[in-house]
Formats: sequence, C-alpha cells, structure tokens
Amino acid sequence: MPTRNSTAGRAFGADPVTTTTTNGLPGGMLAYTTGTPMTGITAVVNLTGMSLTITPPANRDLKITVLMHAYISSALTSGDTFQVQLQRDGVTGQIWIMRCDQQNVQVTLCGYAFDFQTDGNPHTYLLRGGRLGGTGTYAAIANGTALGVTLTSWFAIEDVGVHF
Amino acid sequence: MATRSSAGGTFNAANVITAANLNSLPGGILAYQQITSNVSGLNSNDQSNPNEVLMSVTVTPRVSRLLRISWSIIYRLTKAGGAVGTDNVWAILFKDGTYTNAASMTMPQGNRDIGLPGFALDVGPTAAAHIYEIHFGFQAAGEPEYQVTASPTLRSFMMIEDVGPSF
Repeated sequence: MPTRNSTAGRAFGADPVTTTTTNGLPGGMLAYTTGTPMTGITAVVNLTGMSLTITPPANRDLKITVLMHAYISSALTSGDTFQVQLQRDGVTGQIWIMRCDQQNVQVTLCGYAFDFQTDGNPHTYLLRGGRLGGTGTYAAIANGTALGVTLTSWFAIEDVGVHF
Repeated sequence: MATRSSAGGTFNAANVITAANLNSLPGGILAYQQITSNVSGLNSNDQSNPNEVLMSVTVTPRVSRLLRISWSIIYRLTKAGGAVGTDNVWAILFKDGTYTNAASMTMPQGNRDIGLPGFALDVGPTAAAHIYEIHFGFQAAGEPEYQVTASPTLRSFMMIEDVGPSF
C-alpha cells in the first residue's frame, strides 16, 4: 500500500516554491456532467449525457465520483436491483448496485472509483445503467424535478495528485 | 458537461510559479461538522421542518470556485411504525434555505445502524456567506421514527471542499 506525507502544508515552509512542489499538489475537478433524464430503462444502456472525455497530464491519479438518482416506474417486484457501470474507453472498470423496493420512489446510488497513473492520452469515461435483477422498468433522474423534488445526478472526475 | 485539463502536474520547471497558477488548484476543505451526540425522535416527512436539521455550516468561498458538499448519515429505525423495505429515508441538502439535492434509500433493516452517503457540487457560488444544511427525514406517510447515531466509530458528518476554479 503506497502512502506519503501531504505536500500541502508541509513543503511551503522553505522558499522558493518550486514546480516540483506545486506539481505534487492535486489538480482539482477536471470534468463533471449532470446528464439528461431517461425513462423505460430495463437492459443496461448508456446513460444519456453521462460521458466525459478528458486528457489529464501523465502520471496523475484520478477519483471518479457518481451520485445517481433513479426509480422504478412500473413492474416492481421483490428483489429489483439497479446497476450502474463505469466504463473507460469501452471497458467496464467498476459496478455499483442498489436495491429498489418501492415503485415511484427515488433511491440514490453513491459511488467512487479511482483511475491510477494516467498516461497523458485522452480517455472517455461513461456511465451505463440498467436492471440487474427483478422485473422493474426504471427512470433515471438527471437534473430537474422528479417525483415532486429537485434532484441532480452528478458524474465527476477529479485530479487528486501525482501518482505514487 | 464541462471539462478541462489539469493544472496539477503541468507547471513548467522553467517558469516562475504565479498566483494564477496556485489559484488554479483546489483550495481544500472549507468546513465540516460532525454529529457529536445521538439525535433521536426524527419522525417528520416535511422537508422544510427545521427540527430535521442535523448539521449546518456557513462558508464564504472565493469568487468563481467549485465546491463539493459531502455527507454521510448513520441512522437507525427506532419505532415499530416503520416498515423495512417500504419506508424511504433521505438526507436533504439545503443551500441558503433552498432544497438543492438529496440522497435517499429504502430502509433495509430495522434497529441497525445504516449509512446514507451523498454528495453534491455547487458551481460558482457567489463570494458571500452561504449556509449549507443537511436535513433528515422519511419520504412516505406513516409513523416511523429514526435516530441519527454518533459514536467514535459511527460518525455522521458533512463537509465542504473547494475542488478548484469554477468552469
């Protein structure tokens, strides 16, 4: 398990600040999207608008954060589960699953993933979603009012520092 | 969708580091709050009920920054009126008194501590004081009652980070 001391709060005691020091700091948020609403989801499909293409510098570590609101709009059955897949350049790298027990009541999936040691090339990160078990038909809440409340689903990518 | 290249890792060794360079980086954590004692009797499905306010922080960010608000609530059903697999609980984020986002789940088990995480982004809030609150309640009609738990190993918290300049 690689670990290190923090760069921020440690290195700035000795002037001058160097590029080596500053390049060791996190770069912050690189991209985010809120997607668009979808209905009629059964099989796993691309979630509309939940695609981000970025070209981070080489040798950085990325954190991907997902907050996804969805609900079953019809055909609820016991054991209905909804999965969200994270793909990078078409290859699935992470899956999150949530259980949905009620019809027309939104539930929220909150997930994190990491992509270690970027290579300096552009990559496309994509969320896909669909039914894993049961018979329910789903709707994905993107950005707006659904079921009487205002909700926003987020998909964000963050540079969290230089690779170990 | 908004994207950009990272500032981190791109500073040229031949250049002088400028204030603009440093302002392109994230500012780190701005505020956090933890629940330090149990909060019992949470039995409202009224999202505006002030009794539901679990945590509140006030921050004054710099202009044109991107903030991430994160939270994790540890809760449990404490009254027989709730129905496992039926009642939905939610943690609701308010900004300056306005409902901004939420995280919700169907209660999977009774009388057990359960985690409810969530996060939201606030893109370019004004450089003024803003109040961010986490409310907690249930969505459907009924009489369930919940407790939000506080212990050294079960920490309900919210925090606000500056994750870089706004897009």
